[in-house]
Amino acid sequence: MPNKVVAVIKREYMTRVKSKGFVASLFFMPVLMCGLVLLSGFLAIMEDKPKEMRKLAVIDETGEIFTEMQAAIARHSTFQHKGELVYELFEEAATEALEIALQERVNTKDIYAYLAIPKNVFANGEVRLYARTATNFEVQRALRRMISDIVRDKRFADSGYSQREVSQLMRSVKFNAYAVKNSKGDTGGAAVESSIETGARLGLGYVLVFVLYMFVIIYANSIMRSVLEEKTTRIVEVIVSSIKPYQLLLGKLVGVCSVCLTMLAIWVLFGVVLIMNINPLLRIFGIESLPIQLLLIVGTVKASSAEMLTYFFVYFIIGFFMYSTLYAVVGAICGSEEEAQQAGAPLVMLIIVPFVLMVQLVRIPDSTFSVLLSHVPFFSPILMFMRINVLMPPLWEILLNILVVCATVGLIMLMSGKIYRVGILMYGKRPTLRQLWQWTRY
Amino acid sequence: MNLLQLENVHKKFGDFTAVSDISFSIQKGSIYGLLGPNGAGKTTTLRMIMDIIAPDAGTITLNGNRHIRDFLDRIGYLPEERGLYRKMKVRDVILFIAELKGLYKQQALGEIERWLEKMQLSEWENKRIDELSKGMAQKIQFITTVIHKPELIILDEPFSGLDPINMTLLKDLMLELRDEGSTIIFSTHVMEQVEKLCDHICLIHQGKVLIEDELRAVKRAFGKNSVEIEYVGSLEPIRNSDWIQGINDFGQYAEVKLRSPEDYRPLLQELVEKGVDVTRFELVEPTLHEIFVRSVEAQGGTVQDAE
Repeated sequence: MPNKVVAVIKREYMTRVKSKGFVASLFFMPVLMCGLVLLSGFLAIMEDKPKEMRKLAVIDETGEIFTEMQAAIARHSTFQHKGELVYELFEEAATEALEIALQERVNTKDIYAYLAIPKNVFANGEVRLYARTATNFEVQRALRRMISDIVRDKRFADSGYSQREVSQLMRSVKFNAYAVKNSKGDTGGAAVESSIETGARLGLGYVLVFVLYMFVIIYANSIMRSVLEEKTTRIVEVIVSSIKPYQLLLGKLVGVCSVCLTMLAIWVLFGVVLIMNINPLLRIFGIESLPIQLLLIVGTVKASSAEMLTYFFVYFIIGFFMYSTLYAVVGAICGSEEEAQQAGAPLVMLIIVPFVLMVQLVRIPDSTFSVLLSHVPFFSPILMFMRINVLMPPLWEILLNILVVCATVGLIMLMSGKIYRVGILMYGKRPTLRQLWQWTRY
Repeated sequence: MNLLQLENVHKKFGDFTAVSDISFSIQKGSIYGLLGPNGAGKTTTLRMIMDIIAPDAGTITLNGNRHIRDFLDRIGYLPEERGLYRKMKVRDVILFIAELKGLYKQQALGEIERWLEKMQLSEWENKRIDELSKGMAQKIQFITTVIHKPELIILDEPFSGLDPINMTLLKDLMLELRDEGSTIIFSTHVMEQVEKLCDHICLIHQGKVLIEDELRAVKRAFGKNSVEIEYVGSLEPIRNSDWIQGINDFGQYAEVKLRSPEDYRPLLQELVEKGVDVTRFELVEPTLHEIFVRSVEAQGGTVQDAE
């Protein structure tokens, strides 16, 4: 007797793997993701360098700082573009009417900004910068540093110290952070990981969580649509007259999950081969070195361990089943795609919430709050995986969590299966939550 | 020997009674017609037989066995609303459903070939369902229903949406399948379709069985109390005749219902006396539709929703 669930799995798998969308995602998703990392990296280091001269008015009530600034500006790279000075300072007398006039000139772009330095700046006075935007953080930072240096030097000089002495004494110490691992290192003691390595692991964690998020969004929706198709074309009547609804649901989930795993496996395989041979490959194309962002990606991938990938696959599969089951149920209780999109929208929150929390929880991985949240079954696939990345919890805790989440998934599938069974044969009005509860107890 | 038996089957959806106390049995190797207007409970009855929905009360047995779910592979089911996976190829769709019915791939492929040839659809084997015309898609769906050589074939409104040529084709196929030993139960609301096809009929109305018997017996019980008249001119002179209970006039042809079966003689006489130009006068059995209307009326109901 051939297995009927296998027939369902085969159909779900083949129709998707053969589709153009699958082939397209296979190529474009990694390209897109690398592109995204590159772009954000590029934006982060992109500096606000004007091509024309920017005029910066200074109202110096002390009468001592402006000349120092004019000397100092040449030493700050922020104010230069390709070695040429692109900021021009000029002094204005301090009157109230003048400030209004200057604000007007800032507005009409005649001058870039103006700076007001009060008389009491040596004591505690506030230096104010007026420009068309307050988000030019680089310029702000450079000006703050410049003026602080000038003011500080003045204070030191007044107290009788020479500048040389001061800079000698004020050097900061070198500082670096290391994570102590449970596992044994080369020397026999605990393994130690530098913060750069941790950063790379963290980066990989983000990438993997993002992959989980993306796959769930794309393929759980695909499951929802396929449930709807079966429902609207009424072919579901033929199917459930051959197999039980829960078998159909299971077949769908396994089939689509296999599609995701296939894509991931191809990526991992190609990725590993590519990264391991990155230098010889580059030489073929005559490229000396990669942009820094790509090098970071390479480093990140190299930092990944088989252990981490294993945890990723475990949580990926659990998470996929959990979210997809819910999407399948939404498909089963709705009558059209528009309706389903609407009804399915709240489900996205189940992924968005841990996604957002994750960013903050990384800082405090062992706080009670983090630990508790990571054990909420709906959040575990993302938060627990993140904890494993940052600060490995004891093995028993991970296993317990996997067990609890699996049990939750089982429970959800059991209840969903019942709703699904009734829903796929119900047409017309969408059931209320109370009705859904009743359906689970048929 | 009874293949399928329903006993006192009830089904309610909320406050609405879809099926109320239905009992009938189907003999092996027969064609059984389940007739009634839209909303009579035909589809609900068929779905309960397929165990897609469970009856509230009563029993349904197949070969004396109450667990129909264990025998689903021996049943072929064509639902009322048609539909197949639109993006899949013809062959893949049939293969998928055949596998769900427990066929092995090689076995199924041979059958698919045979059926597509029979339906003259061989060259469409690798086309996608959404490239097919509606009639072709219906034929494909019929193939998916019978591909696994089921003992019992359940067809819900199989003729709806078919053109006359395909209707004849389907009718011939049904007879062929019966001769090969299958038992067929089908539902329809167009009663004329059943007349030449069924061995047995069951008329249902508002979830209740009105008549359930062999087709010949049903017809005999109602007697020949109808007359078909073809004429030239007008039937106006005899419209208020004492012998006529009802008249369905089509202009040159009329179906006349008599007050009693013997009244055809005086009616014929009156036609001649009043000078109506009659070209044909024939005593006929009542149509199923007429039987249906009379049965409903006999129970004090009306049939405004019968068509």
